[in-house]
Amino acid sequence: MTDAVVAACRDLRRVYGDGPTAVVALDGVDLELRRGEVVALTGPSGSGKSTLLHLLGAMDSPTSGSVVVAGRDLAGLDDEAASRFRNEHLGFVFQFFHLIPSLSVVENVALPARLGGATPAEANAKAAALVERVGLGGRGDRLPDALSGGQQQRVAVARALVNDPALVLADEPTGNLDHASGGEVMRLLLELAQERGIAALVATHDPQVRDFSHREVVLEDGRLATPPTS
Amino acid sequence: MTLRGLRTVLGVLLADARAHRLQTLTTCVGIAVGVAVVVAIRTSSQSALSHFRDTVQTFTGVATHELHGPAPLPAARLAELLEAPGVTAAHPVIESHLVLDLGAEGARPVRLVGIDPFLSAPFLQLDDTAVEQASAAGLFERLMLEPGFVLMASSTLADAGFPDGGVLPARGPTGPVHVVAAGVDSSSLAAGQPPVALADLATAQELLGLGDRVTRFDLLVEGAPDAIPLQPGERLQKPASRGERAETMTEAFRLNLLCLGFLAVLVGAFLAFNMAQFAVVRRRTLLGRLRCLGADARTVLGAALLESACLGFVGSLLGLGLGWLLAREMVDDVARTVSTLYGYIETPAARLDVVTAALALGVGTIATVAACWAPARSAARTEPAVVAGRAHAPGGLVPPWVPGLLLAAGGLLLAPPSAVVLPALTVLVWLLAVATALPRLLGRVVGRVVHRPVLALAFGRLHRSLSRTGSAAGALAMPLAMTIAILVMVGSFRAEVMAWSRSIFGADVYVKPLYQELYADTARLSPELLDALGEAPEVLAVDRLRLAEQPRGETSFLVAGSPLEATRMRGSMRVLDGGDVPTLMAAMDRGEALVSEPLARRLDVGPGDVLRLDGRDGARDVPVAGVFQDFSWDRGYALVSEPRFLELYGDTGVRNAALLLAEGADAEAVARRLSARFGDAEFRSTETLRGEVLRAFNDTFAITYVLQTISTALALVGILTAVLCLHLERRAELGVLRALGARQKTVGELLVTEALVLLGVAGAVAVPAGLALAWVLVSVVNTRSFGWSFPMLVEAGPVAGLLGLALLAGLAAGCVPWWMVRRAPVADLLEDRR
Repeated sequence: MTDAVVAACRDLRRVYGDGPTAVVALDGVDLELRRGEVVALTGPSGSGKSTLLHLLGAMDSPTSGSVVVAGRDLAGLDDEAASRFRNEHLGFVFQFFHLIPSLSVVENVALPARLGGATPAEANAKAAALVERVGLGGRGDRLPDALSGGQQQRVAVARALVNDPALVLADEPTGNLDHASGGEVMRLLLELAQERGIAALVATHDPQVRDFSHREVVLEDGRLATPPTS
Repeated sequence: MTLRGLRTVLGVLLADARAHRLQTLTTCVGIAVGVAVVVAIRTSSQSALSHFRDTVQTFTGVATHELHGPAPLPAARLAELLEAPGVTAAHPVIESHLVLDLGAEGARPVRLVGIDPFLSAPFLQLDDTAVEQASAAGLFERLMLEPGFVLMASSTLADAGFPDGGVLPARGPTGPVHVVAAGVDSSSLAAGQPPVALADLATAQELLGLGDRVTRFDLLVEGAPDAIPLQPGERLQKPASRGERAETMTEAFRLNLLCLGFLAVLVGAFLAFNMAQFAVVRRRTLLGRLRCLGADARTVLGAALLESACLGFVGSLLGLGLGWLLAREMVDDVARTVSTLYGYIETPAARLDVVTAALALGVGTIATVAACWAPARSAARTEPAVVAGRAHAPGGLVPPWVPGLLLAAGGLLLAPPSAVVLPALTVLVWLLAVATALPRLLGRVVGRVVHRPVLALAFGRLHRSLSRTGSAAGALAMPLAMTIAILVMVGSFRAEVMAWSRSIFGADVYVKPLYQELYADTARLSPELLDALGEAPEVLAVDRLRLAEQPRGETSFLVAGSPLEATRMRGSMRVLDGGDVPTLMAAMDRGEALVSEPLARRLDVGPGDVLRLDGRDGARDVPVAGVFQDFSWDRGYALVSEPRFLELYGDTGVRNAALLLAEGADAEAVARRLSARFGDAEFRSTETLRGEVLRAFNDTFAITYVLQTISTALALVGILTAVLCLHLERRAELGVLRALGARQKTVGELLVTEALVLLGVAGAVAVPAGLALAWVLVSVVNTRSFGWSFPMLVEAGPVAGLLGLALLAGLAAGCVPWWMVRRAPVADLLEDRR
């Protein structure tokens, strides 16, 4: 894996259950993600997109094969180590935003930093800058419910970046937004990924995501239908 | 809404309830326990009282009235009664008990009824077959002629193992006697417990040592009995009124316990509410799917309410069975209370009547439906969009004016000065006010967020789920407050009874006739025994206690006469009003009376007032010198000096005596020595008597300990369900936190913090609410119903113990969802898969 490669999967296989009812979610997936690169992960429902995101996100373990992210093989990480790894090296963006409704915009963005041990002042300063960067300056004290869907997703993007991760994993980030808002969020993600040298893997059904990605990989029945690199 | 749709949705909800057996069972058990307490209290007291009434009414036959005196009446009074206007027939009756000695099988009491076979014929309702059988066998002749001969039901003789026609050794109030028992097939003789032994009047007088006296006269009176001339102290009553009097007297006792029982139902209903809230959250997707498939809001509401009715009914059925089992245990205690206060009865079988069963099923089911109303509405408002994860199950806060209104309504219920039921209702209403006020209170508490990630998150999550967590905290505060109230009330009462027992039992050894509870009307300590006791070397003085019953309207009170040597020498009396002990003793020596607190409250008399007493020479106004505290008789009594008593009522015999021993004498050893020397009396040391008082107290309040345990258990279940509810609702949030790098430990801290915050708020409200409820129970309910006042004593230990237990439960409640989260993959949490 070269310096430019942030994440790599080798012959990745994930099987749920066993015996005749076993379901093969991923079967021999090889994939590399590089710094500053936004990759669209597409494929029909049930093709294994979410499974791949979970394996790259240290939230699940492969049946076989390897996952290396930010130079660290995720195999064998215990829960404590996996938690720390996610906090330090990964960012997540979800379809339904998953902001904490009781925390303000800045507090939501600062949350990963505070969970990582930053002082409130440090975390809030960093978060406020990011909130400004995603175009929500002046709305930092608001609760998420007071924002539109597109704005909430921008907060989620800021939250994903607050600990300067190597990789952002986004699961249908435009799935709950209108076309224009979805485009804005993707444009923001692309800008930030390039600006900060972060790799982003975006699982999506939204065709416009391709317009904001460097390349597209397609999963079909757990297998990659396109070459691992473009 | 269509009926078919309703049935379909109900079927889906019930299938879901079956699939989640533990939650369903918890709801049912909560209701069952509350209902069981109501059933147990009602059934045990009804059984004991109905048994007492049956026992009292057996053999009153067609009599319209009974004549009772302050002591057994002279048989010669019959002639005057027969000449009285309106009296068409009269007969003398002796009704008391004998104890048959069955050797190795122990002693067995029988109810001895003495009649005059000739005069009693119009009154008795003996079965025809029994009369024919007795006539054919010449048993009536033997009844009149043979000393010690009694007739009993053949079935009773067989059941008790008495030999038919055999001679049985027995003990009467004056000592050993012998009876000859013959059996006839009679259902009327077999009725009641203990079994009836019918004797000739003279035989009964001899067996009981009554001389020429009888215990009452039964009369057939045409028209109003006003023209019947009564001697001083005599009272004319309807046969049923003895039973009614006992019912009236025990009403306050039953009411107190029933109030506590209904409180238990309320607590059970709150648990049902909590579980229903929990179910709404858990079923969010299910309800959304039903709504997507076309079930309208009214159908969901109807089905949810019907489901709660089903659960309430099942819980009530369980409670009915549980209550009946509990009643079988309690009936013995209640029978003992009735025996002590109103006349001996044996422990009856607990009989569950239709009214109690209907009441239990109705109260349990209605309480459950009422408790589930708000969650059912919440379920009905579920939006179809929740299926897509785009909406949350709606919640709702109680309007801000509701708690205030409830508080004010509770206060108003306290206003009528003599009401007993209303203050008890206040307890319920105030508890509801506390529960409904909590959501807002919780909001204010969590508004002051502490700036630490875990705490901020915990408070924030609680604040966001205020409609749910607030009501959950309310549901938690309810049993906690109730438990604190019971702890404080019983603790205060117990402390006061202990202090009172130290003061009232100022003597060293107490003496009463053997089987006094059986011979309440006739048992006396013999003058020979009293003389012998006075001459015993270790005895300094003998306090004799004489008693007379004083009718007053529909009820009566007791007048006691005693020299009160112990009180004079040791100052042992708790005076509430009228001066110190020497002042009151001097007043008694002048012929004035002291009244116990319940009597002072009942008759509204105090120092400076006069008490009208009907003595043997007519009514006398006796000045009241003071009021003293006493828990002996809830009817209350007046205390006069011995000479004054003898002047009023004559020598009706000495019921009990108290011995003052020389300094340093071992009361226990003296009691044992005297027991061995005088077989006709029971001797108990003060310590033994105090132990009995405490035991009686504990028996009486045993049900409150059951309630306390139930409340504590419900509080623990309440906090667990509240935290689980919160956890289920915000499960995906925990997934987000884990995805963002929160460690298991951090999530654990968060969940435990939430549980403890919830508990802290509930406790902060439950403690003052519990103390307020305790005040109502101590100062209002007990004073008004029993006439007993005692200060509220808050013992920190038990309350702290309870809160400590709740704290442990809080920790455990936080750990359960943590354990669930630990087992769940982060991806599952994120997608809220369960």
